[in-house]
Amino acid sequence: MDSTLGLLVILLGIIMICTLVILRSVNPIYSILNLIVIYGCYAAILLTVEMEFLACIYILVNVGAIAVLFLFIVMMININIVEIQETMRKYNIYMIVGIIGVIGIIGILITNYNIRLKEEVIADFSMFLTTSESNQLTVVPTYLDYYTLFTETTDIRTMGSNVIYGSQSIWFIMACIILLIGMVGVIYITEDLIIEKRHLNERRRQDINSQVLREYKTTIRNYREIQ
Amino acid sequence: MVGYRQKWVQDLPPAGGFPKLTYARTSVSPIPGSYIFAGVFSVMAIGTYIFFEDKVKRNAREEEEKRRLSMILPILQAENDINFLASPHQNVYFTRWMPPQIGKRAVALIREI
Amino acid sequence: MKNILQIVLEGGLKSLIVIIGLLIGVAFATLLERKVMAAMQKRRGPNVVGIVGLLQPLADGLKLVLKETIIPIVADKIIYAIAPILTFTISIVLWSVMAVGVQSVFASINSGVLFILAISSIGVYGIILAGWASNSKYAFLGGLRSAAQMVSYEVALGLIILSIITYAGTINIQEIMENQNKIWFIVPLFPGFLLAFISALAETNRPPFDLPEAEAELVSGYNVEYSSTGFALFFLGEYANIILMSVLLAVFFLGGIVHNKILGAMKGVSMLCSFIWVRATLPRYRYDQLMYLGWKSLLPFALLIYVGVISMVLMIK
Repeated sequence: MDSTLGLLVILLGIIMICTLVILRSVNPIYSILNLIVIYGCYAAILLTVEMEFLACIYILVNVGAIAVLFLFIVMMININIVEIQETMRKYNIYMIVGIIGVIGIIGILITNYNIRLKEEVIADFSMFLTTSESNQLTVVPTYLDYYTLFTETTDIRTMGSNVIYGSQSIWFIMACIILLIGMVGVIYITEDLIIEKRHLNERRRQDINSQVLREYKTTIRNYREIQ
Repeated sequence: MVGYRQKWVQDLPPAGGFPKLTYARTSVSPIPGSYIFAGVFSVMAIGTYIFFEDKVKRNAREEEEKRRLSMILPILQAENDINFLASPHQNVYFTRWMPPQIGKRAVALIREI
Repeated sequence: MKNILQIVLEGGLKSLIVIIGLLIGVAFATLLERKVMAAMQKRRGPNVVGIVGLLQPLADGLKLVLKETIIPIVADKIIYAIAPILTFTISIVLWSVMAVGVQSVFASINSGVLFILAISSIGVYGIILAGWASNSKYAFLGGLRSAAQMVSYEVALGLIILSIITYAGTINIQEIMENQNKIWFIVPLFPGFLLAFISALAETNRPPFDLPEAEAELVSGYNVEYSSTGFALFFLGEYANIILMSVLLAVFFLGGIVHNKILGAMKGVSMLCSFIWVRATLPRYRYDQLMYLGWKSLLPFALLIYVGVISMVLMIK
């Protein structure tokens, strides 16, 4: 088995197990921790296809920013575990279907990859060579294409010049606008609440002048006098 | 109380009182703050100038290097090809490319099936 | 099989060298801190164990390890055990991309700066989990406090590092060092250096932002319930992070550490000494003041510097 394939299978297995744990676990904090493990596995898969930049950005955004906020909020909520257990019971039937699906996906993945692996073997050690020659091949340096070496750049340069600021720039700008709308929209929705709160705070503000001017005679009155 | 004589001397402040305490905020540095700011900013400006001069030079050198490499690239490739062909290697004509199945060939293929 | 054995042996030896060097560095960093602070306060400092107190860190470490490990009954035991290990591991992993020589680097990857930013953002989890798993309100509040502090100062630090990346035009650490052959980045980016220094202090929970160490006022922080080895791991991770931050500042602003090794080491140690200098000089910040400083002073200023840097680069082109 190829070492990359082995790594991929292990990572996918971890992802499957963690997904099951996310669904099954009663405590939401365990769910989030398993989610973080899945993010890490995803970044590792990106690393196996030599996309360092994307992997680092993925960890930086998802693990370092989003999951931390999730964890913050979930930790501060008072959780009633018994209630969650009751609601979890109705998902049990779907779980069996899910497990069957997971096994099927892993099976398909492994069998397909094996077929491709045979092809690779035939292509790499072609039928024109004997076994001793193919053993020699592993020692001989592979064919060097200087043109590709010359045009080779880092993945961040490729992404920046060809994808984000190049052919797909319109989608990048669209995503930015959607994000902006999301941020402004939240302010618009909560505007009334903010104004209300501000008024409330104004009413509560300490009025030192009136406090100092307060006297016994003007504030304390006899009950009968009011009558 | 008649025969009482004061034998000790009370510890009183000196005549005219103590000297005034200088508790007002005083500038420790002899250089005024505006001068320091001006100095720092001028040093920053000079530094930026030196950095970008160097950077432009370095970029030009890299560009030149690239151009030179692109000139001798075919020769390097040819040399490498000779070395590669002299060694036991994979068949250069081996390819996984297939002709697209269009026109008569595709029709024939479908009929076979 | 032989290949795999070779890979495992080589990687193991390499990582062993990095880890042992780091641990010795951490041990003597603690001694350096105590000695420098003693010199600043006109004291002697530790001078009993070994010659001029050189074996003091070993004695301290031994004392910590030999103490009794106490696990609270109500604690979530797995996460309680994982949290210090996570903190320590991440502080070691960060060192894998630091180049100490032109060729001597554990892993020379293209996006080294991003790797450091990404991995150090995971370091927050050690603190949050330690606070949560202790199942004590003091530890929990301390954990939340420290985590919020680290997350908010990471933004300003990230912006300053971004402006350095924009100047250098690369995110490879070695290439950033090469860019400073002519002039160090501290000269054109002096305000950026100051901001990065303050953010680094807050990132590593150092004074004047050392709320986790405020035992009398705030009942310490996330590590109240930890004793012996768990506490030692937190301690080691913290000091490894401090050394990393001082080396990073030396790499980004003081011209790198690879060209002349003795000079490079001196740069790193001078940054470490200035961390200690700040500790011996300044009083502690209050928590709301700390947040105010992070979000309302450092972040806008860092944004201003970044805008200036971008406009400079565009002007030259």
